[in-house]
Amino acid sequence: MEIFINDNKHEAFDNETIIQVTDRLNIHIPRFCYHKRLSIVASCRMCLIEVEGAKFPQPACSTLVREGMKIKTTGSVTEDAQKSTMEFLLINHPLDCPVCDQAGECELQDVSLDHGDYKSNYNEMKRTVIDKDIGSLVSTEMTRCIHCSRCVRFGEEVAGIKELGMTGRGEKTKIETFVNQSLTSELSGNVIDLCPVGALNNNLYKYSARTWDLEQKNSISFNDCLGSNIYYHIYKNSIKRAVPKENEQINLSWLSDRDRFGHEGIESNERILLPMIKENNKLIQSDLNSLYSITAEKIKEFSPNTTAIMSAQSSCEEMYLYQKILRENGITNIDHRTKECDFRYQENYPVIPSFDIKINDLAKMDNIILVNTNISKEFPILSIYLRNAIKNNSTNVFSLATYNYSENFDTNINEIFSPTDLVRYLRDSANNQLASIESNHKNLIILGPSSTHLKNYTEILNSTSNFAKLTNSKLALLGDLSNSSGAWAMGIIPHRLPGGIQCDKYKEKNYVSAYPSNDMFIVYNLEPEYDFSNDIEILDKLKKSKYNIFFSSYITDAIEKYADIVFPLAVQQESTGTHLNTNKQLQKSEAVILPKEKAKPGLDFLHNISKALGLDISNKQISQDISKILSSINITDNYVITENLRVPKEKDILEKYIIRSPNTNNPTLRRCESLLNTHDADNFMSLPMDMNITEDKKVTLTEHSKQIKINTNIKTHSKPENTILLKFSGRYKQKLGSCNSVIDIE
Amino acid sequence: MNFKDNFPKHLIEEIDVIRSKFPPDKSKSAIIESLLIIQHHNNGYLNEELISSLANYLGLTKIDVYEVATFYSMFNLKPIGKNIISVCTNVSCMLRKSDDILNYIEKKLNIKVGESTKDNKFYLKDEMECLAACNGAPMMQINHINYENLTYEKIDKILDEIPND
Amino acid sequence: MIKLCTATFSLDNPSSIETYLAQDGYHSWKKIIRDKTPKSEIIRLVKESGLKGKGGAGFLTGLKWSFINSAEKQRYLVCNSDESEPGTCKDRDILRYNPHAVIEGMLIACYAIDASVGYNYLRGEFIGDQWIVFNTAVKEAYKNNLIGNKVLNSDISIDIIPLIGAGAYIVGEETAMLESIEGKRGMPRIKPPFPAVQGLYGKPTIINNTETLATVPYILKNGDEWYKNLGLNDSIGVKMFCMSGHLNRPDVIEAPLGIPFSELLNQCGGILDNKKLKAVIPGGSSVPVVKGKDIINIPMDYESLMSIGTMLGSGGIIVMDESTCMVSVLERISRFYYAESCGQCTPCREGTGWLYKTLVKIKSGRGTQSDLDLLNRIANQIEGHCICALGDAAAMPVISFLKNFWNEFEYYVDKKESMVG
Ligand SMILES: Cc1cc2nc3c(=O)[nH]c(=O)nc-3n(C[C@H](O)[C@H](O)[C@H](O)COP(=O)(O)O)c2cc1C
Ligand code: SF4
Ligand code: FES
Repeated sequence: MEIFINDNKHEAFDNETIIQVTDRLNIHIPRFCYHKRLSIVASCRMCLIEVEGAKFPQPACSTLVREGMKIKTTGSVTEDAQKSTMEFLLINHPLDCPVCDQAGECELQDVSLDHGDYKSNYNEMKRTVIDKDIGSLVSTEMTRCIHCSRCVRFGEEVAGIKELGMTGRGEKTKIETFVNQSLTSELSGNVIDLCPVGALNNNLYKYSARTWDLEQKNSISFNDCLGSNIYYHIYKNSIKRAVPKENEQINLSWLSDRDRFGHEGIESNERILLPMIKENNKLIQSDLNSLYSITAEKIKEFSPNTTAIMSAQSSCEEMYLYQKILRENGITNIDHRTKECDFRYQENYPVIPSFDIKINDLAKMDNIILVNTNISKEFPILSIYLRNAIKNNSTNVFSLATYNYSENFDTNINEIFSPTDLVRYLRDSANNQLASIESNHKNLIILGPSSTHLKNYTEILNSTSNFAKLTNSKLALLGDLSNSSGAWAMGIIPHRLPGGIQCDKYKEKNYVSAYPSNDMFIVYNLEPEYDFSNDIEILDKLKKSKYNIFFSSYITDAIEKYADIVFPLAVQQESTGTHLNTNKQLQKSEAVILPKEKAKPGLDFLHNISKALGLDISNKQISQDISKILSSINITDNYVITENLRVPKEKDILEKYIIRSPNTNNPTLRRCESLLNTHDADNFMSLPMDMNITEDKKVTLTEHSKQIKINTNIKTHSKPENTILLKFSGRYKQKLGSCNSVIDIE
Repeated sequence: MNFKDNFPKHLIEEIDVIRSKFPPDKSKSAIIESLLIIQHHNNGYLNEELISSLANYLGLTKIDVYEVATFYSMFNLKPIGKNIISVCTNVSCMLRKSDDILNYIEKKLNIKVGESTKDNKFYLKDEMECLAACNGAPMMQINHINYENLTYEKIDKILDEIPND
Repeated sequence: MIKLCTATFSLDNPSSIETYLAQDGYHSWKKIIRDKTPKSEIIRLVKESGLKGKGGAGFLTGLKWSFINSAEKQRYLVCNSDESEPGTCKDRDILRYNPHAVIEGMLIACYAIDASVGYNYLRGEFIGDQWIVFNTAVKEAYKNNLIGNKVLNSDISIDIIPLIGAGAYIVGEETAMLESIEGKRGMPRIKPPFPAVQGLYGKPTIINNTETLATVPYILKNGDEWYKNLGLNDSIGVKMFCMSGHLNRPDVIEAPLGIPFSELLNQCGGILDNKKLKAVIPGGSSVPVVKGKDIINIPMDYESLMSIGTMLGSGGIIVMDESTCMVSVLERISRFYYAESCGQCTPCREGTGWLYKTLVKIKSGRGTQSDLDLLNRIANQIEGHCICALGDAAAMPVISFLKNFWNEFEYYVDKKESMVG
């Protein structure tokens, strides 16, 4: 249809609101309550504009366009209406711009400059609102609130957990949580961006800089395999805050709290900022040139009895060069799967594990089956898509899990099993609730990364694949870290070269089985205490091995004790590289800050080491190789069918496993105090008992000669049956060993 | 009432009746009437515990219930005196000298609007609404029963006749 | 004397079903069930009778019913018994003295719009009296199989369910009422969509005032022509007038529309203590005030009142004698809208407080001439700028009081005291 805006003819569509049209045409209309991803409430009345024929100005955000409508975004009617709304908003708004973090980017400030009158006739007392503590991430200054209700609607409509609400009435209306409850949503930080004034603030950023001094740089998330797009705001080479960069295929306008606050750790005093070498049992400062030549020497000396493990948080470039150096020098025990303990599946694994459909297509699915993944916590951004699918497409969501958790969307079926029962359930799909999934529906199965930590991962993968095949479902394998897909593609696995090419020259099938013959460890951005399925065993091996080379950004007790040399690894935000997300999108991130002190991006170290080994390969060459590898990969599906697997027996082995908080999933996250102070930073151990646990029973566990007494009455879980769920004590330190170590229960 | 997560049986029954007035998936609709009943059984006021318990029982978030509890003026979030007096001081009553009536009651009970008497017998609500008895002005409600065409003598009689217990 | 809604008022035991039945109550309902009257016929009849909503806006009831979105199967009727507009006290009497007329009206409306449920939402403050009476009446009607499953052994099932609020004037606004029934804060919704398209729980819903619905059975019984002709001169139908303020006998009077104001005054025994009439607010406190001399000979109907710059509104007629201090009255009215704003729209949330605080300032003798201009400006900045009409309701009195009694306000800010002492 045709409409007239300020006397100019424009095209508009049915069911569009005026503001949608003007936004599309870049014609400015001020607004506070309207947000394109939230429902329309039309309550702030800032967007009032003149519509010919209407007695009073109309809200542009909620008024639908009509054929031939004549609208004026300027002129006295519009301007008077907007000026009066502004005047009303300012009568109770504090004049504290000089101390407000929002100053400089405050929508109220901007609008009042454009549309307000400077002088106020209001002489009464201004309203003040007592501030309440709503958690460690979002700080409040509620006197500044202008009641636009964006934050409330965000909770209800996007995050799926209503935590902030509007209380009181009239002039006494307030935005608050129920009696000082902390926000628990993993998306809570988005209210900071949504708040048009300085009422909801980024606690990390609070008072640390003025917005006009900040420099904005592009980056991506290093905290999960989705690769949300981020703008970092930098001042004096330090990250002051993170805000979402819109990406319609990934994070829309949102960021998970992990991505928003996950840079805090960079400033930790546990950072390693100098090259170090062990002398007299102590790590002391060294110089990089010596470390390069020692590394080259040691590689020559100990290959092939070296195990090289690398974090899947590394960039494709680091991965490619790392494996190239090692393989060219005879080292084949290369792996990134340090949290795994069952590798039988690996020969049949896809070249790139991936999300089998575009994330946007989630909303078209009839059925989505979640296997062992707590989407709301592990992939908060995905949970938004799932909620939309349920709301707009009535998608059925099934959750099959090995422990009990809650989601911020409705699930049709929520079953909790022991890991072996999970396999049985999938095998028996014809006779249980899964029977409703038919092959002529659009089905998607999402297998969460924590399944890979289980001792029967291969069986789970196999039965999931069989079920997927049977029901003609897509299968999505979600990675544990930001570049898990890249790690498979770049050959950070013992049995395949980059591009998934079978490599027959490897001796050991995985890093675990490499232990017995081990002389040297190269550990790249992994922390022995926290990143392994069995910390006790790895510590033991590190102790026994002849030489240990670490690339690490942070010091830990184990590194202090067992490293012979340590490269001061820059964090991802200080490095440039590409990451392959779960949708097979290769995203590049430039260094947003310079590395601190003597720290350097891993790629620099690797280049120098390769030179010391007589290998010279340029960055350009690496990028070309990577693109070639990626384009050569023929991706079919994610099914992993492994023959001759044991059928689980009725009473199968009991399995202890660790449930890690996604907020401690990588070294930098582990050092983000404000994230660790949320409700959600606890790790748990799930411990099934081969006996009926009666109330008040005392159980003693013995693990590697450590004895732990548990009082079962508070910790017993009904599902899976006879399970005890233990919370780890301490900040993020696990004190109870790990997944696959042996325990005795008395 | 003193309980943690469970309402006593008779309350549950009352709440279930309220719920049955609405479609099964609309338990939110039961908030207002349930709160009134809970408040009635809890000396006329609500607290965090009661709000949480109702949220749990109806399967809603606490803030959902709290939002409602703070919006409607008949919910009290602090303890109040046993008998609630609301004197209408809106236009029609004001024209017939309701301000004097209110003053008289304030003096008689030795409290200001919004306060409860020391012996907790009376709570004088700060009533802003018109109580829809304009043709009986001046008027007041005590425990939501109307008393109209008030005079000082009438007030004395009404208040004095309210038992002490 | 015509008596529709008030038919049972002066009888013994007025609220009981026996009394109502003895007055030939439920006649229309039984007839509809017996004859299987087509829904369209009922809507046509109500439309032609010219019945206008009695809740305030005066919208044609039959026309409203015809807007029901028939694409949706589930539909609702809501009876608005929130009666909270200052000066209005008619629905409370209907609810306690003639509840069965409300029930019958609701049943007929449910039938006409094909709603399986009719909710009657009573304001919270009715909990001690009207709530109890109305609930009893509903139980009686169920017992007599007039409501419920298979009404009067037909294949029609309709439930009438009483609901109670908890103190909030704004819930009288129809969409706020829907929010409140949904268990939320009573915040009005933006329109469109109108309730007849998307109302309670997103389903088509018709909302009518208690008096409107209680009138319906009488129209069905006596016909559209009959109702139309009840009005005087060109006016249509009857209305309950709530007469309050400086009167010798304040009362609720059911009278033909078009009745001269002077006649209503007479029926209430004239002005209290034989004083002179100064001003009248003829439709609940939200409508513009008029000078006594301007209204005294005016017929009380929608059009005539419009012609003197005010409205019939809910029929709450507030009468003020010569001793009335208009500054004090306006301050009191402003306090009400300030206290009752739901708080979502900026102009209403902030503006009503500003109006009230400025009036308090004037009343306390700290006001200046410029405060009077300010009042006018604020009111004009609120009017027409909000989601619901509460903003207008707060603005209209201010504008009209200042316009009609400017010199009294001026006197007040000059002399720091009331002109009338
Ligand atoms: C602020 C406000 C308060 C209202 N209060 C009432 C009320 O108490 N009772 C009522 O019947 N209508 C009230 N209304 C009018 C209703 O919105 C609605 O128009 C009416 O219930 C429709 O019924 P009717 O067509 O039968 O008049 C109010 C409207 C507004 C804007
Ligand atoms: S005008 Fe006032 S009462 Fe009406 S919706 Fe807006 S804020 Fe609420
Ligand atoms: S942006 Fe339109 S009313 Fe708020």
